[in-house]
Amino acid sequence: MSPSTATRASILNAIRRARAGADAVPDAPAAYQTPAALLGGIEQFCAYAGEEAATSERVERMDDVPSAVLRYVTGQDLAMRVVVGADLELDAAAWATAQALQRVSGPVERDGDTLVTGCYAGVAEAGALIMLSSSGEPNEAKFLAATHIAVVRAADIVPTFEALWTRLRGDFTDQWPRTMNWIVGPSRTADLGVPSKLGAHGPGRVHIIIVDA
Amino acid sequence: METTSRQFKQLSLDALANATLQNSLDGVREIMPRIRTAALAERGDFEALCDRAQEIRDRAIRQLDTHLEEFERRVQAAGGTVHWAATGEEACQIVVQICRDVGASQLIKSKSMVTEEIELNDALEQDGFAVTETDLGEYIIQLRGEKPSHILAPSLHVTLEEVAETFVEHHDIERSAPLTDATEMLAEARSIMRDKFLQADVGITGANFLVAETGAVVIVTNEGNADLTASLPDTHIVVTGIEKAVPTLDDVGVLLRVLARSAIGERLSNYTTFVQGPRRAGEATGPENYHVVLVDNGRSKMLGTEFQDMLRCIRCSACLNHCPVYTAIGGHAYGSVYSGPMGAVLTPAFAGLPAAVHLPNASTFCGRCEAVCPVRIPLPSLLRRWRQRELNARPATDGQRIGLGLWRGLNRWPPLYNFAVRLAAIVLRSLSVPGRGGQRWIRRLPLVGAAWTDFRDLPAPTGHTFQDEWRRRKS
Repeated sequence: MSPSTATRASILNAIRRARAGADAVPDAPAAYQTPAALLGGIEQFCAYAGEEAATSERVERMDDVPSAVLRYVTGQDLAMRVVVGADLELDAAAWATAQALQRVSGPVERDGDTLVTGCYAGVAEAGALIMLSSSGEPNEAKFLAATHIAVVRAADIVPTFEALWTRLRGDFTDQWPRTMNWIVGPSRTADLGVPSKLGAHGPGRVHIIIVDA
Repeated sequence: METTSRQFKQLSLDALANATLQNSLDGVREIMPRIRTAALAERGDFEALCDRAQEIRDRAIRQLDTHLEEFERRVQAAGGTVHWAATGEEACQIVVQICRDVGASQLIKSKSMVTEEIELNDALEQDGFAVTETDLGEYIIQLRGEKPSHILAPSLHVTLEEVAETFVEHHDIERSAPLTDATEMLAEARSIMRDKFLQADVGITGANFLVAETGAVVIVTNEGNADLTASLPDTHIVVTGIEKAVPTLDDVGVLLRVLARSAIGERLSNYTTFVQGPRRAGEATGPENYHVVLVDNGRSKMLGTEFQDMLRCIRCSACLNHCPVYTAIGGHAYGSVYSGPMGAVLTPAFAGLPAAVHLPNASTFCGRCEAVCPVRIPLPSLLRRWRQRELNARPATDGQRIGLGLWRGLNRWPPLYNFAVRLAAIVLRSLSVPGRGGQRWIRRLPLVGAAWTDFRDLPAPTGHTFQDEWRRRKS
């Protein structure tokens, strides 16, 4: 037996010895149910994301996204270069309506760029964006970018964590994605006094575009 | 675990006399309970969530073997390696060996209390690796060569001016003006850290939870540093305690709800990351090597003992923020990386009671820690159990024997007890002077009483006893 195997066995045995003398463990109760009064939708999602310093807007169709990106970039006085993550729906959007944007597919540069990505889901109870790693998009881009514009479909915004688990379990039966990142507003730190300072390591700006159709 | 807990009394006196530390602690005392209360207000079901969180953690640690094996199986299936370490030393050796095997030189780390506990950085540096902490607070104390003074805000004791001095001393940057602005300090740290992130060979993180259902390691941060640490270097090593395992994602959802609210008064931390193995076929980036080091280091020994409930802890720090002792002396006085009520229970378990005997005694048993604990750990009872063990392990001091003997004598003779209490109420009242809050206060007491009045005033008794009052109200 290798030292590691022996250690593994001794730790597991110590746990089992303690367990042997204890009462049987009851079965797990059914998943937690959030009281109906606390359940929210898109408005709650936007309000809670807003309280964490994210901004949001709603557009009708995916084809409205490019012009919304252009408006945001112009309004914030950012560079016209935007890195657009690999997302079939985003790729298919009407980018011709935003000619002024210099659209590239990556990578995000060292000192930050504006990154536009799709999202797997949004969770209303926390104002959280849910992102999954994919083969087309470097996962670290979401954290290296200076500005993150996240596009989420209204239908993908779920009320609770439990609703998210249900969707994930439906979509991934065998192998889970390598990483799942939940993002609530810009990166921040409380280590340099109160209030927190934005843009610690990750993006200093997070803008959410909700697509209704 | 190395501690300086034997010097608790001297370290506490130093902390009480340290004006800048007292200023930081005033901030904790004033801000943290307020933001927690505000965050709870919107969740009408917070108590129900805590009940569930307690149930989840309790059930998880009672079936730890099953969950750890399932977690291990999932990590292996995804292409990762799981290591088991009985002691902190073993865990350090495992990490050092992985770093050697991949030919690493530059390492980055995100904040992890387990790696503080096992002193991983010392082991790595002794072996010639350059380690950079990437959580800003950890980075600040790393530059200063200090230990964390709070499990969540490790550089709580460092003022903004001191951060500026530290950066000026350690950062090789030409400055046109003195560094005074927090935003500039952040920009400077961010820029230096970017290079470290991009150059690092190995990223080391802790874990908040291990999920048996999916094999996920869950990491919570506000800065996003754990995400970069886990995604940029070619090798990702997770170092975590065996007690962090939970069965399902449903469990994680409940625990995340109570964690951020209890810790920082937020609905959720800014970044919650689920890592489920190394880079997949077809992915252009992400670590190729993925290791999880499960550290026991005294945890399995707590199972089946009176201290088992402590393993429920999710390291939220609410008990520190609400503790009158922690908020008076800060974390360093405890002489252990775990401070406050949770540290006073854990440190004797990890470092041995003789080394940490002062910590369980540094409590008034006021009960605020238990009241705010989201997994309902009976912290005062656990502290009391350590005191019992201390008494069983060594004879009481003369002072304790005489004091307890007198108390016992009084209690056995009710008339004598009643007389003594009435006398004390009158004498103490006569020693008091009018003071703040329209109350009477005692400024100075003789003999053992001076241990109290040397540091604070004692509220004067009303002059009559509880039994007087009882009789008055009954009639």
